[in-house]
Order: sequence, then structure tokens, then C-alpha cells
Amino acid sequence: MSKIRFLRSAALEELRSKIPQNLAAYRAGDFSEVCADPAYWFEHDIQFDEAALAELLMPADGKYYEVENCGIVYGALKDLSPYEARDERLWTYLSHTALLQHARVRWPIPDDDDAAAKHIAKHFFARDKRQVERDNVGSRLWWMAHLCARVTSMERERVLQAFLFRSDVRANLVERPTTSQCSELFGAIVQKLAISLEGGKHLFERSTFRKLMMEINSVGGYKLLDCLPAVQVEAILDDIIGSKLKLSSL
Amino acid sequence: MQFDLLRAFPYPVLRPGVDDYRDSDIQATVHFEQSSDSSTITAEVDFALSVTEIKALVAEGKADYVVVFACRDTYFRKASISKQPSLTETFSAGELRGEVLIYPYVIASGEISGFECPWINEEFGSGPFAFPNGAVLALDPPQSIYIDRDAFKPISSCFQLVKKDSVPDNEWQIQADDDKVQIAVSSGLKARIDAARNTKENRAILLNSIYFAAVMQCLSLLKHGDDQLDYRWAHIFRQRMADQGIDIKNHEEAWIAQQLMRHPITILDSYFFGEKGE
Repeated sequence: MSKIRFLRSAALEELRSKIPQNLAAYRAGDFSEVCADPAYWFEHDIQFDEAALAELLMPADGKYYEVENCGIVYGALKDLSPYEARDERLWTYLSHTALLQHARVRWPIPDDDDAAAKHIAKHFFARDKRQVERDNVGSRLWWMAHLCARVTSMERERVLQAFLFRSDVRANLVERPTTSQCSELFGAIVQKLAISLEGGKHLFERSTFRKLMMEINSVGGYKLLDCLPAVQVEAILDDIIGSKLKLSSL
Repeated sequence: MQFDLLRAFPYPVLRPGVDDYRDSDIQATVHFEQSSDSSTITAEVDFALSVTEIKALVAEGKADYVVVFACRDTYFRKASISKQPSLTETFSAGELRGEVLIYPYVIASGEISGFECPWINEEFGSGPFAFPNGAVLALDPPQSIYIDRDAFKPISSCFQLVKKDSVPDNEWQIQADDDKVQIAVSSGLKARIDAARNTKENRAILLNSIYFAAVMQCLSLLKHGDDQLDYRWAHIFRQRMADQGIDIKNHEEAWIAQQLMRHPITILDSYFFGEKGE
């Protein structure tokens, strides 16, 4: 175990501004000076398992092993709080050190230099919410695992499998902050998705899931769902699925 | 549930600026405090409610005072429920970052029937009224604070908007001789700013106008004034500049303010000039 490191802000901006000059290092070299020189970083008291990050599964045959890799990143950084996990300085440090090789393989850098610079800014840095949650090689895995870890009524792997099965369903959930923030509601939806994944997968149909979310939004317009116990939230979902979506099975 | 003052509910809802209830009011005051070791943040919320019939529903166990704390950056959302008009909630400091929205409500905790109140607007009919479980009976506009340990920690801990009747309307004054920088405005302007804080778009404008100018004035004080300024806001400014490798002697205040506030023009760009953000 070692202490996590954050890039100093000046070092972060220097790396960002030098992406075009550093293309060769991104493609095939390394950033050993970032790791070696304390002028680039400062340490935090939080410990993490750096060796575990080396266990990340590389993409193969069109499979990205997102469920497995979410578990690996979340396990390696299990003491990280959401506060620190929002910090670009942490994820950019990791993207240029322990996660560099994985980033190259998971997000292959384009041959065109201009396209490569944009691609690197997107996947090796984490400037805004969208990049933290969707694009950065490490932070996206941590945040997806964190959202799913709040669902305690199901096995973590089953939650992740349901949540990650379709990217448009995942995006639809995450892009509705009120729904994704409310862990009881999020858990109830993911539970239905898990049942659907093991069954007919009807809930994963684009129009069906959109309608489900619209109906939940409609109920949330006059009822404060945050106050309802899990069993009542589930009853509301069952009612929507039966009476509005007209699904007899998931 | 998103706050929308003009939302049409199928029953009367007590809320500021809407006359579902005549001559009646709800107001929640929210106070946040960080523990001395910075490990926890405690929120204290007090409800003031003028409709005795709604208070009676709470006393009878048919309704609750509810405060929802929501933080988009950390996907944190928690509803605190109380039978008392004052409630306290403590959070781990790691759970909150950036903007935290606080939504105060009174909520039906079961099916309610036979509710009567002389203050309900006649347009709803004479009643009695029924409310489903979870229905909103009363709400106050959301309030927000900003949590950021590193620099503007939180921004609200550096700046405080205060009412000062000697300040002409549409002007403001900076008073930096205390731990918090006071932005003094007339009572009319303060009321308008308080109301404007309800939307992200309006907050973006405030950040780029009054708060940006206040940050510049603070930097000017640090650069040209007393080197030994020992107020809390001054420590926070110095810490943030040190973290970002900024030497105040070598840069203009306008440039430093942009760095410290993380280029606030980008928020305007997001909401008004360019593609709309979330």
C-alpha cells in the first residue's frame, strides 16, 4: 500500500499545455519524471493498492471487461472518498503513471496528431464532470463502481452487470442527477434492470427505458421519492412497469 | 423532484410567492459548520411555518419536516426527516464537494384526508382536501452552499452578502476587515440577489459579476495592502495561490482572479454563449 498522490496544480496545467510536445511519450514512452520528481506532486494520507491497478484486464476480442475493471479500480482505491475522487489532479497523476499502459490500450491514441491531442486531453485528464464520469481511464471506472456500491441489496457484480450492460441505459440513468443521486431509487431501478438482464431484456430497449424514466420523473413531480422506503419505491416501479409500460415480464 | 415555484400541484401547496394559501408563509434557515478537525460538516435547519393546520398535521404524525441535501458532484442525496421544526444532520466531509443544494419541505407521511384550512385559496374550493403519501404540503426554495476544502473552502466561508441600508440601491461595498469578506448591499438588492440564486444560470452571472469583482478587490488588498493580513479569507487566498504556484507580485489581479475562480467565464459560456450544459 502507498499514499495516493495528487499532481500540483501548476504541474497539471503544464502537462495539459504540453500534450502536443509529449505525443511520443503518450504513444510509446513514459512520464517517469512525473513519478520521480516531488515537484510534480504532493501526497495525501489516503492509502491505495498500486499493485492492484496492474491487474486491470486489457481489452481483447472486443471485450472491455468493464465489470471486472470497475471492481479492480474501486478495490485498489477503496479508501478514497467521493470528495477526492472528483479531483482531476489525482486521476491525471494516475493516468500518467500507474494507468498509463492501460490507458493506451483501452483508448488507442489516433495516428493524426491533432486528433491524438484531443483524445489525450479527453482520456488522460479529467477537467470537468463529464470527463471524470465518462472519459478518464481511471475515474470513470471508480465512479461507476461507486454508484453501484451504494446498492447494498444486491451483489456488487450483479449491480455492475445490469448497470453497464447498455451504454444508453447507463447514460440515461446518470444524466438524471435526481434519480442517480437517490440511492433507494437508483437501487430499485438497477434491481429491475438486473431481473430484465436475466430475462427478456425488455427494459433495455431504448424506448421502453426512456418511458420508464419519464414516468418515474412524472411521479417524482408531486411525490418526494427520497422519503419513501425501498419497498414503496419498488411498488411505484412495479405499478409503472405494469400499468404504463404494459410489460407482463421484464 | 426539482424546485419549480410555478409547478401545478393537484392540491394546495404552501410556498413563497404562490397564493395557494393566503397571507401565509414558510421559511427555512440553514447553517453549515465544519468540525475543528475538518472531518465532518454539520447542517442545522430551522423551519418557520405560519399555517397552524399544517403544523398540526406534523404534531398528529401525519406529516414530517423534511430536508433533502443533494450534491451532484458526489452523487450524494439524503433526506433528513423530523417531527420537530429544527433538525441537525452531520455529514462526513468526504461526501460533499462543490455545490450542495438544500431543499426544505413538509411532506405527508401517510394518506391524509379531511384536511381543512381557512387560509387555502378559494380557487381550490371549500375542501376538505386529501393528500397521498409522500405529497408535498409545503416547500421553501432550495438554498445552496459550496464546499471546497482546497481553496475557496467553501466560497461561502470567504464571502458573506449582507444588508446595509446606507448603501445606495444597485451599488455594493466590500468590507474585508473580518474573517469573512462582507459584500454589503441595500436591502432591495439583497432580496433580488437572494431570489436570483435559485438557478444555475443566475448564479453564473453573480459569480462573474459581483463575486469576481470582490475576488479582485481582495487580491488588490493582499497585493498592495498589509502583508500581514490575518483574516481567514486572506489565509484561504494565500493557500490557493501557493497551491497553484501563483506569485501575487508577478501577475495582474484580473488574471489571478480567473485562476483562483477556475475561469468563471466558462460557466457563462456553458449557459449563455455556447452549447447549453446539463
